[in-house]
Amino acid sequence: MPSLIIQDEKEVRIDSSMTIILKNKEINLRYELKDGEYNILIFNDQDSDLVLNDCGTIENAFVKINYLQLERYDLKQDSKVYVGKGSELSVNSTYLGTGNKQVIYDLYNNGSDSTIDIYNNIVCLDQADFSMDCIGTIIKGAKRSKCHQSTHCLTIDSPKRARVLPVLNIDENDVEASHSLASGTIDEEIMFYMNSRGLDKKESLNLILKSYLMPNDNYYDAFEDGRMIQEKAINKVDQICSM
Amino acid sequence: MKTLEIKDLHVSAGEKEILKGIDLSINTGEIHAIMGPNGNGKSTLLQTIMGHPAYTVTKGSILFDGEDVLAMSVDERSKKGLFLAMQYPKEIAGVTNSDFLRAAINARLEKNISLFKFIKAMESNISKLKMKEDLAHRFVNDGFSGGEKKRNEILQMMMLKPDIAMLDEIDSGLDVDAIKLVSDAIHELKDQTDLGLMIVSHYERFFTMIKPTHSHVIVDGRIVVEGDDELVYKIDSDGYDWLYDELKIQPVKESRPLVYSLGTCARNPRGKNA
Repeated sequence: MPSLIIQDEKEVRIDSSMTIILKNKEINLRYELKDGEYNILIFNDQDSDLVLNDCGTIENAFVKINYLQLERYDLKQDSKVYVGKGSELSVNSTYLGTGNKQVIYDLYNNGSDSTIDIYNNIVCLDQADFSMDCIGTIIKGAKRSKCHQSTHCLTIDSPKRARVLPVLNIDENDVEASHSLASGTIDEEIMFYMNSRGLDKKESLNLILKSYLMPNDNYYDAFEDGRMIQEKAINKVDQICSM
Repeated sequence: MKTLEIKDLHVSAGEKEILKGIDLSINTGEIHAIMGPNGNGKSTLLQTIMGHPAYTVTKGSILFDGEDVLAMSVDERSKKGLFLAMQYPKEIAGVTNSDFLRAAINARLEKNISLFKFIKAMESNISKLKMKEDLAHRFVNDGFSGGEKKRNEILQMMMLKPDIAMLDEIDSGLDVDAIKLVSDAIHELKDQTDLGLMIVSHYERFFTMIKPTHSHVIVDGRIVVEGDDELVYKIDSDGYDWLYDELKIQPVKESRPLVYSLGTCARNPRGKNA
């Protein structure tokens, strides 16, 4: 699975499985995924704000898109994907909420028997302003389609805002749709337990954040440069926790 | 030798005073049994020594090796050599036992422990406590049975090697064989490190294996009687009533939340309230 480092390009077309490492301030990704299985990892790896627009179509394909956003800078993300007849899209997003982050997922069941699953893991740190609109739309005619959303949001200290709005627009009968949202903060008893073993607040937070934000070890093996990205992701969490 | 010295300790939880003047001195190498009826301050004492945020010390002092424990944060107390094995250990989903313990060990060392040395120590202690081999890779206490959680507390104690360990009803939830394993592990660590222990338990069986050098009974936030292991056996056979009669004291009755009936809003098919 190839790795693509985006440094200067503004428009990038994606038609195969790949690891995309974002190093540009403004990026437009275009998906054209047909007739196959695809696994895509989008990793934000830059020291500045990012505007990410990604959109596209999935036809007769099974697609996993993984977003890993652990930067402390601002983010504006607008993702729009149309999932065609018999196709599947699984979105797995991870956000470390610091600074100002505005995320919109606008995902369409665009044909019959299509499936969309969205899993969001979000941590909002002190003073973060995080906003996510997660919109699933089952269009008229997309019979027997499925659209499920699940979001976990962990708040640490006092974020300015931690807002997640799950929306389901259903314009067809005979479909399955659901959304769930769990939000909370770290249990004081858990923090006491960890402190009582000699870990201070930052060290405890570091362990909790890694467990919350980082997928398991095997996850990275599927990607070219997966281990390098895992190491970078660990460093980013370390940096945030040491601040 | 290090000493944990508690003087005239008064502790409140919210408006309620729980400890009303505790004086206690524990040296490394000693084993102190802390007994008393439920709800009279035993766990509060241990949690206060460790720095639980729910408790406020309103008067008195706690010194460890001459240093003011009350001025230390919870993690500093741990790094100084205090350890609390909790009655209800918390579950930390997503954090593996090995990551947790390695981070805890590294937090108290200037140079990180080598992976090889850590794994060797972890495997050896897991084996001594007859715990499952995959424990290192399981999340901390997540999905553990009550007995596994208690053994995991002892495993952590063995890995962290404190100077004074406080065990809060560590034997509850353990079967007879597990109590023996835990007791053997405690003795082994004590022989290696001159560990001092404060042990809260209701059961003579555990104390028989542990062999306390001192015993104390807490009633209504005060230590009302002290002795050696004979006191443990007397309480086990006679209960606390003789103490209440002799000292003319009354224990605090464990309070339970009141249950109110809200009635019912169920309706019968005719639309009237049931």
